[in-house]
Amino acid sequence: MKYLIFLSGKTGRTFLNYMDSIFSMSGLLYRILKIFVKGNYSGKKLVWAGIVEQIYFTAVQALKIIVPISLILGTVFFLQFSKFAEQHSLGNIAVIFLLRETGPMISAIVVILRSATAVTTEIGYMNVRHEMDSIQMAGADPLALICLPRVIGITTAILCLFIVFNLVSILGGYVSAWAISDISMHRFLVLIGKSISLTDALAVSVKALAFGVIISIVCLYRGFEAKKSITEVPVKTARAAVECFFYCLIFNVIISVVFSLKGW
Amino acid sequence: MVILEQSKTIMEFKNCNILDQNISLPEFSFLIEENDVVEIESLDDEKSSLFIRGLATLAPLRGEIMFKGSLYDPLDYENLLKLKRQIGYLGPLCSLLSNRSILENIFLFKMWEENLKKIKLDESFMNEFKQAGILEYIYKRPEKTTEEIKCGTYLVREFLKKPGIVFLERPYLFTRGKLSRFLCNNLKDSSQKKVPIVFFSNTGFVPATEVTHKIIVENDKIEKIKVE
Repeated sequence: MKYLIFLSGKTGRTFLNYMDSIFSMSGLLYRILKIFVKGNYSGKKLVWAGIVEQIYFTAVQALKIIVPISLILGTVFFLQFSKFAEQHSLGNIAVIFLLRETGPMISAIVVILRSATAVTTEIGYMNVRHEMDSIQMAGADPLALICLPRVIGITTAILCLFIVFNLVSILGGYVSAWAISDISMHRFLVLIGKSISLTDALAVSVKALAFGVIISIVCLYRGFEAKKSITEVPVKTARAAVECFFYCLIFNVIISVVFSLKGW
Repeated sequence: MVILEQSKTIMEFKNCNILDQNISLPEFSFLIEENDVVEIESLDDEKSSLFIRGLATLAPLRGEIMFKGSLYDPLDYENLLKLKRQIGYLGPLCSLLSNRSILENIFLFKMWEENLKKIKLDESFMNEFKQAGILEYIYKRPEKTTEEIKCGTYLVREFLKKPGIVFLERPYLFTRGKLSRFLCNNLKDSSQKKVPIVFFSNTGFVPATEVTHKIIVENDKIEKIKVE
């Protein structure tokens, strides 16, 4: 009985803590969105410079990782699927599996591994070292100066990485198709082109937006949780990375289910 | 923000509460007027630190704050930033932005307010930089300098803001070598301009001017008394 009470108490507390962090993250997102929509902050040039910097770190520097991965995945995918798929359905399979599902998840994983952990660590250190106080005492808003560029930068970077992943994986696919069959580039591109619709682009964009917001908000929130000691930072970083991956998976499923229920 | 009639009162705290994660302080109300030099006294250093950080709006505060006739709600985050900009705060840590140069750290308030991407060195501030011993380091990032340079930068920044009130929380980092004289001169200058100074120190630090009031922080009450 004692053990049961302890277990139910522990479950309740864990659930409440979990809900508390979800609501707090939503609150943080609301405040950042409010700043973005109202746009009534002073240092717009500093914020813009932060956005460009973030896109460079998250998208441009990640290209050397995402390009080989997408090339390999595209090659392997077309190599394997072309064995048993009819040529006419190969395009559809490629669009659904590679472009709509694998592409966004792989790009998100790369961003989580490279940039999300970096953002959590950076914010954690800044918070522990009272750099946020320093920004506030200068009359600048840390939410506008630090958080907004990260949210916009990471979201834009993810969308760019999705596009790069899709283009390069199709290129990889063509290489494999060319190696094992006599299919022409024109025929191959027509197959893919016929299968891609506007809703695919919409699905990918929705996923980019969702993943970008999730990754940036989770990382910022966990970073801000580190308050007193430097040793809190790696703990928060690990937690943020796992949570980002988990939430991205969940939202990937939700978006895919919504689109398939709509028949898109 | 409600504009009320001007008076000699610089800052007024009305029915204020400071509540951090583990410590809470009793409700307090008092005025800080022109020329006030206020020392905070308490048996508990942690409480005094929290209290002065609360007064400088860096710790969670509830109640009403009036600064130079303008009313600020501590829960109104955006409006409170305007108040923070007018407060000079020297704490036990010299926290500077590590990804900005010393010069950018000093003029961050200017870059933010005037929407500048870069800042040019203004010759008129050379003397301040020289006195604080940071002139040769202004284009370097804080982590590539020494702790003394960081403190000098912090000190210059807070006084270049032309604060309406100065808070000093355990300012032992600023009382060494060249910085001590620079701090002393700036405090004297502030005092001449009738800028109030509020300080807390556990190392026997005394500002250059005479203490006029004390704020006693106890477990059940916080009160401001005049020093005879």
